[in-house]
Amino acid sequence: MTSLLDVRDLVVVYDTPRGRVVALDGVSLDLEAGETLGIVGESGSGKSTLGLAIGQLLPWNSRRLSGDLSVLDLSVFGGDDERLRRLRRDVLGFVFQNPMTALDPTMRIGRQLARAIGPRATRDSVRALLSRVGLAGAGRIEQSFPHELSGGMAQRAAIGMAIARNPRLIVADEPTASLDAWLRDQILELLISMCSATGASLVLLSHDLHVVSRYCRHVAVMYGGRIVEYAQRETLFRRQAHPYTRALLESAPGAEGPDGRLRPIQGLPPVITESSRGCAFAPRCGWMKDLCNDVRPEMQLTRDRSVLCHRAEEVLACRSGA
Amino acid sequence: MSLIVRGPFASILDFARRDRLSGIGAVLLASLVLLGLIGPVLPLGDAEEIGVGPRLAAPAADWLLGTDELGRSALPRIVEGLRATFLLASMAVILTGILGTLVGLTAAYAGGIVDVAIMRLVDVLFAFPPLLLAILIAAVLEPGGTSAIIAISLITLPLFVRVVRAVALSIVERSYVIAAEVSGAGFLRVIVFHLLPNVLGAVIVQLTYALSIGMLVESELSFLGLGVQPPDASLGSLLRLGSVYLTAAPWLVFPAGLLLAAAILSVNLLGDGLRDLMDPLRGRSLR
Amino acid sequence: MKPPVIYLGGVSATYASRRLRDSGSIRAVSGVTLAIERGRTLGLVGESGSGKTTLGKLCLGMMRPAGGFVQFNGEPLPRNRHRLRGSLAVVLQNPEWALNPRLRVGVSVAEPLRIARSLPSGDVPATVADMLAKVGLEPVLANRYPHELSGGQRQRLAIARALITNPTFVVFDEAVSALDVSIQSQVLNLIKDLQASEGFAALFISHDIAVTRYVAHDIAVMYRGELVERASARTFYDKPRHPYSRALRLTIAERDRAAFTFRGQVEGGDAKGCLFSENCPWAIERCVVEKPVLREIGEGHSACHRAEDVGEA
Repeated sequence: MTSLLDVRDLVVVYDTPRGRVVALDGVSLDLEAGETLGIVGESGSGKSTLGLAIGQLLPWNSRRLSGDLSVLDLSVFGGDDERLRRLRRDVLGFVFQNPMTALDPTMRIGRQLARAIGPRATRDSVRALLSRVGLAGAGRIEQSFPHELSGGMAQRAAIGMAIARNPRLIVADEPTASLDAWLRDQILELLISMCSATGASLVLLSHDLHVVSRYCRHVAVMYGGRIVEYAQRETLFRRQAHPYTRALLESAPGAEGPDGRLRPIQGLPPVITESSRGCAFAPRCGWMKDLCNDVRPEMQLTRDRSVLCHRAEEVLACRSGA
Repeated sequence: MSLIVRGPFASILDFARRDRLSGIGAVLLASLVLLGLIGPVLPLGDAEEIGVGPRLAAPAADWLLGTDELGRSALPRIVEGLRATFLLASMAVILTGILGTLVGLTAAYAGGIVDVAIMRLVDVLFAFPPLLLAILIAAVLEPGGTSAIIAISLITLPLFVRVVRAVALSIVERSYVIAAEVSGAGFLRVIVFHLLPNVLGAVIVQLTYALSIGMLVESELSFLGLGVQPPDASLGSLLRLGSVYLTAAPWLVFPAGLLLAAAILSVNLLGDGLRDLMDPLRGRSLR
Repeated sequence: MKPPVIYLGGVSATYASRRLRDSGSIRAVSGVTLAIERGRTLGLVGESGSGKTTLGKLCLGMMRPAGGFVQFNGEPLPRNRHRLRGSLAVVLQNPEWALNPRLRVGVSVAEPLRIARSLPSGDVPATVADMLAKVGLEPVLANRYPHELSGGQRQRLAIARALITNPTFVVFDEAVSALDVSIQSQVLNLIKDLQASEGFAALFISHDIAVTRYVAHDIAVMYRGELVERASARTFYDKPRHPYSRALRLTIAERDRAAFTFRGQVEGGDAKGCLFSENCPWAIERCVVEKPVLREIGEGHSACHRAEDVGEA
């Protein structure tokens, strides 16, 4: 069986005026049809680059150094523009943080959706699409321009654009970051229900581990351009094998230590300029040994998860912080 | 930022390397300015000496670009004209730049009725056909350098006020301005410390556009006989005199025309490059 | 007894409507009364558009109230901000624009001192260095420009700038919302520690209850421009007395969310009944016809006819 999404040792760099920045430092990932995968990372972790790479939507100053990414066995870096276009059109759907960037400000919502559906769009199919994304009472919204919609409604319309052609894979990059918490739940639930209704897969990119794990069956945690831990959500919440995953959960408000204080991760997320020699998290890690600075950790498959840490077993065995 | 931090030369070189076309513009402009500056000390001959050669003579060894209707050598007159055009236009534009920036910042920061009043005045100014305005001023005052400067100023003022105001409006909302206001900063402090340094980039770009407009307006006025008065020369007045003898002595018109075109082109190329450099959408900025 | 640092007495604020044909105004805040005592942090929560930021502006005198009054240390807030220089400060959301990109950050941090002229200028650099150390930054950073620093560092500098004149009252408006999780906790700890050591009164505005609960002593909830509940952080978290607060709290507790469907906002603030009634699973006949007022109940205040029932549920 071919997998829907197959990423192999992908390395992507950006050339900036201030030098090269490594965004993806060897990412490997598999996604079966119908799966929901959440990718968690801070800004600069490479998650957005990974999301863009899925549709080969990477900006002009980026380069793929090695590795590959294929969707339905078609490499998006293969250079076949026509097939790539068809892939984007029929297989992929993208939802971004700011819905206003996905919507054309000069066009009424109804017409935009009709265009997204394609040449066979009818008034009825547009209405049906609107009600699928919870924008029934359609007449008014069809006739509206994007700026007349609230943030939540605009994001629903943007989701409508993304799912218009029943994509097999939806990539949502922080789709709710500009929305309030209670709208966030509605939008994410909408995305999930869309996926389960059509059997599509979902890749949800977010900085919030809790949000991601509430909606996605599998969770991948990214740090420094690599996936550092990958597991089913229950597994990940029960025990964390990577110190970063654990620190992320322990640092959030609501998880104060016994003294009633937050336990932040010290230091700053790294900006990587070359493929890291050791572990990218080592400078901030409570479990750091000499080994971590010198030897690049490789993905280890354990019984129920993949983890990228030299001391994963010890971390896993220890109940709380280092 | 590097323009200030790393010294101007490093960043100009850097910039020329990145952007070929505007690099050419910068080099061309620099050499024209240099030509105008050192023109008087070059061994080209006297610009105002009559009867250097026969009248309307074709180019020759002693008068490299020919002579005009009074037998003056054309080459020193063209260099002199270039100098006058540059000098007038840049004086006018720099003065206007300073005034326009202050007015634009005041409009943006004061807001309300002050803003409305300033912007409507600017609209009125902008609505005048530039040449008509220039002729009007030359008629009210007397034709000459001063009225050319005033005309150029009034024509380019709206460019500065509008752009500066637009940029400043987006800065007024920024956290550091609000934080300064909360800690008690007054009008002048906010304008001088927070707004001015952050609109300078836009002002520099606008300066280049205004300079090309200024040179054009000066030439137009002089062409009509309302700018620089004889015996002084400017590119415009040379074009006017030359056009009379277009068929008999084409060497009088073409060098002046080409020089004017080159000057305006170089300023525009440089301006385009600078604008790209500061355009946030291109993801590059002056730092 | 000393007067509270900030006292809002029935404050309302309006914005002129932008639409051409509509000459009316939009009410952003209506009839809010609250006090912030010295050394206390009040957390202000609510969804976007609920009037949180407007309330912050009113407290800082950045906006004139349309009704009611604002007092600072028992006296009316002066029209001229310069008179209070150094006593008020603000930290805002976006670290991108927290600092003037054209100034060295040390100059930015020192600015309130220079405005207040409370120190001989020879002492300014040492004070800046002290302040940088207090917010956990190396004093040498003072010579850098903002673009050379990370978002977390810039937000620390914004805090340093706010606190350098030892202000009496500080507003934090979504001060950590744009930061990454791991950095957010660092800055939250910093704010909490500094508040304890410097003793300023603070208004902490946030849409995130988990964050607010961590730094604030008391919590006030706004819904469509009105204050619907006010209580100590502990009481608020354990036993919210307003259905809307309950809904908010549930979003972090992640339970029973389905009980609430928000139908979004409707224009107008002069509705006869409770503004929340149409979204409220507790609503009864009375809620639609009679506007509830904020009243004392238990250890807090709630503007709900059924506050007793809500608290016990």
